[in-house]
Amino acid sequence: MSNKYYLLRRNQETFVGPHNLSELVSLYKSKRCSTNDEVSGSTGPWVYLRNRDELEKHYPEMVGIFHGAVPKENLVSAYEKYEPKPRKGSSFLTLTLVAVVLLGVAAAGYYSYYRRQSDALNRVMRYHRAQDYSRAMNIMRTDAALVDKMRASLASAKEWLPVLRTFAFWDDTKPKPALMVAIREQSAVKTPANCSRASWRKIWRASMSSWEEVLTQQKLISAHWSLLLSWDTLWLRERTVPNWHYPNSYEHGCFLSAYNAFVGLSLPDNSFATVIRERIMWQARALASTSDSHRTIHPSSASPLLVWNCMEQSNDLKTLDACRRILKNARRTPLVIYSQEKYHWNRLRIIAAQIRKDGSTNSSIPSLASRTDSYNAIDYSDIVGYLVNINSQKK
Amino acid sequence: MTNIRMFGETSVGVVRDSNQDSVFYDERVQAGVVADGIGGRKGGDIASGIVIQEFARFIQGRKARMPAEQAPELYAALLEDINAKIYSFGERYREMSGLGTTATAIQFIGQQAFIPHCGDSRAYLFTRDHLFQLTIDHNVASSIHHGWIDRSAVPQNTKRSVLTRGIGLSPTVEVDVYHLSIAAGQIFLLCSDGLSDMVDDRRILKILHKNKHATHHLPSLLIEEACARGGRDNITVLTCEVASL
Repeated sequence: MSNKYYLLRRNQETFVGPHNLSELVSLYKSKRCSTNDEVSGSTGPWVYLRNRDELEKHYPEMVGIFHGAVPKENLVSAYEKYEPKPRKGSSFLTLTLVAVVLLGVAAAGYYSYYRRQSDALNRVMRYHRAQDYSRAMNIMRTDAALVDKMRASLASAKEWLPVLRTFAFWDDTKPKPALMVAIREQSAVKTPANCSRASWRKIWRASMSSWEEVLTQQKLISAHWSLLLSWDTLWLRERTVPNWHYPNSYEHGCFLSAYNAFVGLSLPDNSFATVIRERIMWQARALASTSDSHRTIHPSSASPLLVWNCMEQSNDLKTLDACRRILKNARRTPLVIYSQEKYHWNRLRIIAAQIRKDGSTNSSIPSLASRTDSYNAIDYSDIVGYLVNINSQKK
Repeated sequence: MTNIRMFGETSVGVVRDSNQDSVFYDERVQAGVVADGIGGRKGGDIASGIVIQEFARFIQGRKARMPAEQAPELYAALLEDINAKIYSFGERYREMSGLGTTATAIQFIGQQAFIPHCGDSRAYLFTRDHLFQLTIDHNVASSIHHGWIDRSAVPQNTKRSVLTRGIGLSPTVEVDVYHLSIAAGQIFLLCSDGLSDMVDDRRILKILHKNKHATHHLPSLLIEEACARGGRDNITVLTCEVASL
């Protein structure tokens, strides 16, 4: 076996190997590398595997593997699977036999590849159903062909949609715009068309210059970042949307991308950045929590965003009212007025939770002036249903 | 825990009067960076110095224990922030307008290495007595090869080594972050073009092969080799040996 090793580069960012030639053959056959990858030998140039001319120039021993040609004689020593030339004067019968054998080998190879990919797919689905997302995603991360196949077949195989949705938001270090479009469907509230981490990084960075103005004047603006900060954490956490497992909705995935992008930012050293950081950190903590009960932390300032944290953390009406009183003497800015809506929604939540505890009837749950949030268009009916159902299960 | 041994050195070279390269590394947090201030412009040494200063602050601060999945994002954001700082420095001090630098860094987390990169400094991997250049040079030649720019769009007299990306040259910058799994015995080599322009890869490979068991010598040996071949630029070398996993 050759002791030459080669490194593969994928998407100009990750590496596979180093591998020797027979290992590369095996990778290619099992679709763990493709002609979109680049290859380099020791001190050699990087060449795209799809570029036959460059491969022939720099790594001729690979042409036969990736471009299916019968290798030239002087490449025999490098290429391990050499097909012998047919003898002169071979009969028609021999040629037919050779063709049949080759077809059989191709069919066996295809079946074997199909089986392997089928196995990988089955394992991904099994892990995903068991909520072992790490394992499912590890397989998908290393098998670009599998992901492509799943995406291309979505119309006929809807059962793959939840898995692709997990994948789109899981390894979000590089944007996958085509995948984001394929998995999105309709969003309940206003969200960016591309909710990848990279996209959110740009949004956050572009927004920094407006934080002071928005928070000083306490405006309600229709920017994505501002709307995201107003999303109620219970709504984010407890909605169930068909064909979403993890994240549980597009908005949930969008929030995760926005949060992960935010934590990577170098923040300016001012109170506005602090307020935004406290708000989004609370939202992330509440989203990750499986329980409704949280320790209420008195907000570090009277900013409405932090009062929302206070309200969402409250587990009883007395604490909730104490949160509301923080804004009692505040200027009636759009953010302060909107905070009243948040108060009423959280009041409903707390009362519903108390009813669950002591078994009172459904009719005690207060009604809201409007079930739709006037700023971010969240439809609280989704969650009122959740609260009521929980309530009736307790009877 | 992965044990990484790091050694770095920088030299003004033979021809230049001043050193606009910088290097920084910290074995405790298993991270390092090489920066090459862009020559021909005032302030290259300031730009590379800012990279080192911000990088050091970053890795020695609370983000030093970042989870691996956040590393690409955090490092890309770091270099983008440094870019903004250097660019606005140039805007503020007009006599230094256009100052810039390359930056190639490395961070080991568990059994992975992350390599944030912008410019034409390089990261190589020495493994199984083979040498692979990991990073793509952000210059005209590479950009044409990868299809980022069209050959016809490049003016005729443009040198192929002209940078197409650098830290501080424009208000925003796109940064590559490479990542790969590591193995014991591997050596990562980060260097400025003062080395790679003077010493070809085969010679670098020979030196690495001969001294793979004495990696503390490598930076000075490589610098000496570059100087012996003309030393026309500043030379900076950082080696990181994966001593054990």
